[in-house]
Amino acid sequence: MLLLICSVLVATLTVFGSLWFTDDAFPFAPFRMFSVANDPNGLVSAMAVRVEFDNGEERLLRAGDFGLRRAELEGQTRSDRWADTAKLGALAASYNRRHSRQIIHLQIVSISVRLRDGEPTDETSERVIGDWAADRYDGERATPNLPPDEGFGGFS
Amino acid sequence: MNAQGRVSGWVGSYWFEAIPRERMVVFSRCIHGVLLLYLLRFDGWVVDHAVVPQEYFQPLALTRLLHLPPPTTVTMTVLRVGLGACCIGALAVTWLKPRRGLLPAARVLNALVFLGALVWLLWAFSYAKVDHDRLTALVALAVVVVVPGVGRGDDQLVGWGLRTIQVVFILAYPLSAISKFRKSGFLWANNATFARAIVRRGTPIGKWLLNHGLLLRVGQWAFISFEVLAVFALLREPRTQRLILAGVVGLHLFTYATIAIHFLPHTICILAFAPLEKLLDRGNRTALGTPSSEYSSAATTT
Repeated sequence: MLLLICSVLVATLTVFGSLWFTDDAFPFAPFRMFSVANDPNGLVSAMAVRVEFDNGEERLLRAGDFGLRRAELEGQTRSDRWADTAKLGALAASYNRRHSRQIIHLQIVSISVRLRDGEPTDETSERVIGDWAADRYDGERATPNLPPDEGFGGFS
Repeated sequence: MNAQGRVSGWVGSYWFEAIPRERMVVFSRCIHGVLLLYLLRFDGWVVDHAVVPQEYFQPLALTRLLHLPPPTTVTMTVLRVGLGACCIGALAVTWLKPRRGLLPAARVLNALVFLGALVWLLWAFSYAKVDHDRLTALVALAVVVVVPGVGRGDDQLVGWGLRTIQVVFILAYPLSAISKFRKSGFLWANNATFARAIVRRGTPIGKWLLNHGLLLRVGQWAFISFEVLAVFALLREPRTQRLILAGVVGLHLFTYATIAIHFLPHTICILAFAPLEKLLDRGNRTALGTPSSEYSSAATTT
C-alpha cells in the first residue's frame, strides 16, 4: 500500500509540476523544453561571447568556454536588458584564471537570423547587450542602450 | 464482485503484476549503464560548472532546501568519482549469484547512486536551465533502490516498479504538450517552432528541412497531437500500447535527426515496457541462481 501511495504521489506531483510549478521545482518541473514558439517572420536569436585577448586577437567564444551552456547564459542574460557588468567581469576573471591568454574586453552579443514564412533568410544581425573591459583596455566600448539587468528574475 | 472488490482487483492487476525479476536485472543494468555513460561522456558540461563564477549559481528549491553550496573542482571531482564507483558497484551486483546479504547490499549501493545522481542533477540545473528528460531516470533510480536488479522468479514488486516508471515515462508526453500550450498556446503548432530549434542547433537533415516551412508546420501539428494521444499507452491494451511506443521511438528519432537531442535518460526508460528477461539466455538466467529464503522474505516484507 505504501508503495502504491508513493507511485500515485510521484505521478500527481509530475502532473502538478506541469500545470502550476516552474523549473525551480525540479524534479517536478514542467516539461517545457522547446516549448517556445517563434514568429514565422521574426528573428531567431542565440547568444555568444565576443572577446578581445591581451595579444590583440578578437574571437567569438561559446558559453561552454566559460563553463556554461548557451541556454544557461541565455537564461541569466535577458536580451532586452543591459547585462550586469560585474557578472561579466567575474566570467572573464574565471576564464583568465584557467588560461594563459588573458581576456581584456568581453561583450555578450545576441546574433539573430531573420525568418520569412518560417524559413531562414540570409539577413543576420548582431546586438551587443553587455560590455566589460579590464582597466588596461583602451579600445572602443559599447554604450549601454538598454535598461539595466536587475539580476536573475527566477525560473520560468 | 462488489465495487470495492473490483477496484482492489484492478489495483492489484495494474500496479502489482507478477513479473520476472530477470526483467529488473536487465533494466537495472541499462539504467545504471546510461548513468555511467553520462558521467563519463555526455555530462561533461556539469563538471564545467565547477569553474563558473558563483554569481551564476541560481539554486533550485531543492538545492536551497538541502543547503547545497555551488560545486568546486574538488567537490565535483569527489562526487563524480564516488558516484561512478557506486554505479559500477551497482552494475556488478546484478551479475552476482543471490546469496545472503546481496539484496541489502544492492539496495545500499542503489540508494547511494540515487542520492549521488540527485546531487549531480541539482548541481547541473542550478544555473538557470533545467533538462526535463531526467525525471524519468530519477524515478527509475529510486525504483531500483526498492526493487534492485538481483535474483530471479516472478515478483509483484517488479511489476510495481516497472509500472511506476512506465506511468512517469508516458506522462511526459501529454504534459509536454500542456507545457507548450501554457507557454505558447496554439502558436506552438502554427508558428516557426521547429525552424527556431533547427536554426539554433540543427543537424544537416534539420537544415535541409528548414527550406520546407509548410512541412515543418505540419510536423508540429503531428508532433503535439501525438504527445496528447500518447497517454493511451497507459492502458493495458497491447496493440494500442505497441502503436504508441512505436510512435514514441519515431518522435525521438526525428528529434535526434533534426536537432541532435536524444533525451537518453528518459528514452532508455521505454525499456520498462519490454520483456527484457528474454535477453538473458538460459545459461545466464541459471547463473543468477535460485531465489534464496532471505531474498523472498525481504521482497515480501518491503
